[in-house]
Amino acid sequence: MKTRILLLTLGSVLFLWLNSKAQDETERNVHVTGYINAVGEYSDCINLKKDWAVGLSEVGLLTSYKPVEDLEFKTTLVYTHYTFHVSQIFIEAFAQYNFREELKLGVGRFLTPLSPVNLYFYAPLNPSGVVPMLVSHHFLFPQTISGIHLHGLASLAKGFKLGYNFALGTYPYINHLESGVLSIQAQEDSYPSFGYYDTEKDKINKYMCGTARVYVIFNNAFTIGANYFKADAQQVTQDSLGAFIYYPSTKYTYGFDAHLQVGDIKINGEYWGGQQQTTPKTDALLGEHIENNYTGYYGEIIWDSEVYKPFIRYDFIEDVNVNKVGLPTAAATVGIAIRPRFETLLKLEYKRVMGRQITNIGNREWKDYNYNYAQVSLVVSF
Amino acid sequence: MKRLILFSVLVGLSLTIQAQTFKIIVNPDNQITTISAKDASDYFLKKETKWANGKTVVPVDLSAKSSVREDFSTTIHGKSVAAIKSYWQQFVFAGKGTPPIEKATDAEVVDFVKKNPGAIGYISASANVSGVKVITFNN
Repeated sequence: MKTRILLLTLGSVLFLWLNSKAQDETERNVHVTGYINAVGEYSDCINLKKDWAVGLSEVGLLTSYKPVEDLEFKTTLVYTHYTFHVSQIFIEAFAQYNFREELKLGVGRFLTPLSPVNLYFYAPLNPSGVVPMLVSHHFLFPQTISGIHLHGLASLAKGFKLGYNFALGTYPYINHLESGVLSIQAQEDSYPSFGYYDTEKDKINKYMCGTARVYVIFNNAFTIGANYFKADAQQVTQDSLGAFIYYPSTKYTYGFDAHLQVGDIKINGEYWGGQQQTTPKTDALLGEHIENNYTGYYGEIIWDSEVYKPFIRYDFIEDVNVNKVGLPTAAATVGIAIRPRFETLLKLEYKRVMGRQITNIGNREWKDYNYNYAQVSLVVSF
Repeated sequence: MKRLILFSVLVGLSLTIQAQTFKIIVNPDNQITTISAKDASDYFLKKETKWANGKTVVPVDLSAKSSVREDFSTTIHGKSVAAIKSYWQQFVFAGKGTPPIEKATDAEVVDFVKKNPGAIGYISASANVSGVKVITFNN
């Protein structure tokens, strides 16, 4: 009974406080937007169960609410047909207090505040229907983090801004996060050799992590940033009987990104590297430890006109490189996004995936593994 | 030849008239008297959020269906209203904030600007501007 009274009292106090600070309508206090993305995909990758498919890729819904001028609640829900747990739908769910432009504090779950390329995950923001592999594979940084987020942007001189992002929290150990309808995106390297890399156990573990990003913006046209991600992690391997064994690990990754907009031309580029290492232990199977090295980068040019946005992109990932046994994979993509009106976005693209495959793991024999991929995507927004 | 010159003058005149279908207004407390199209664009797109005196810029838009907004958008931003909505969609998903508040009529914009010292808005050229300050803009 006492608890109920306490909760009611606290609720009333909060209600009165929010009303006393009710904003004077200087900006929208409720904002809702969303989209539905349907795709058609084709690939001649020989490991697929089917070579083409049409279906729903994802549905996204964003709501933000500002009960008072400096406090914001934001939720972004995204459903994909690869969703295996309801918590995955909550891409973002946080409350943020904006002390000033230079100091904002958020708590909850949010997109990992590192490279802006992580936003490519939202279909209406990406002229391509496919995200760079360094995003979809999620070895370099996870899609979301739950915890505390401190960030801000300061104007230091005319045309010169300095921004920062720090976050501390937990992340779900989900790698190779698929999208599309063919089960091929995010599986470009491991799919041919290993099938699904992650096991169910991979998908439920959460680990502590911290992120840091510092960036500068010149004349609202050129941005460069430096990023760092440090986390606890896990390394999976198999024993002689084929059973999965998980070893505690630590990982760090770092990345640099640059973005230039000149007129209608946008150029984006990023380079990431890093390493995951099992906690040193003496083990007959492990020896000292397992080391997994990562490299990922991409570069793209977009003609960012109002209706037609043609683009070309080259990207590379090597996130399966355990004790020097790696599967480097590159992809060249060309496409066009057509947005005749705000609500309708059509994307057409072709991607050539160029990878390596281990044909005999015991003797480590390799062969080049190349295939084609094409996608038509229709995104309807409101 | 004379007809061609006359036609060119008329076309030029009509374009000039078309470019002046709106007025940019600020609160009378604001010291600003002129603004460049780029600065206006940066304020309305929240790329710049402070006035020279350090006050927060509070832009206000007309409804997306307004023809005055379409003129404002193409003149100041160099983009259609649909393209600006795409920009705001990116802004919102990126967690950078929300688009400016929208008002349905000129009178509501004027009223809003009157009440908010940091406000900047635009209204049709023929609208009543009592209580606010009209500023000139140059390209």
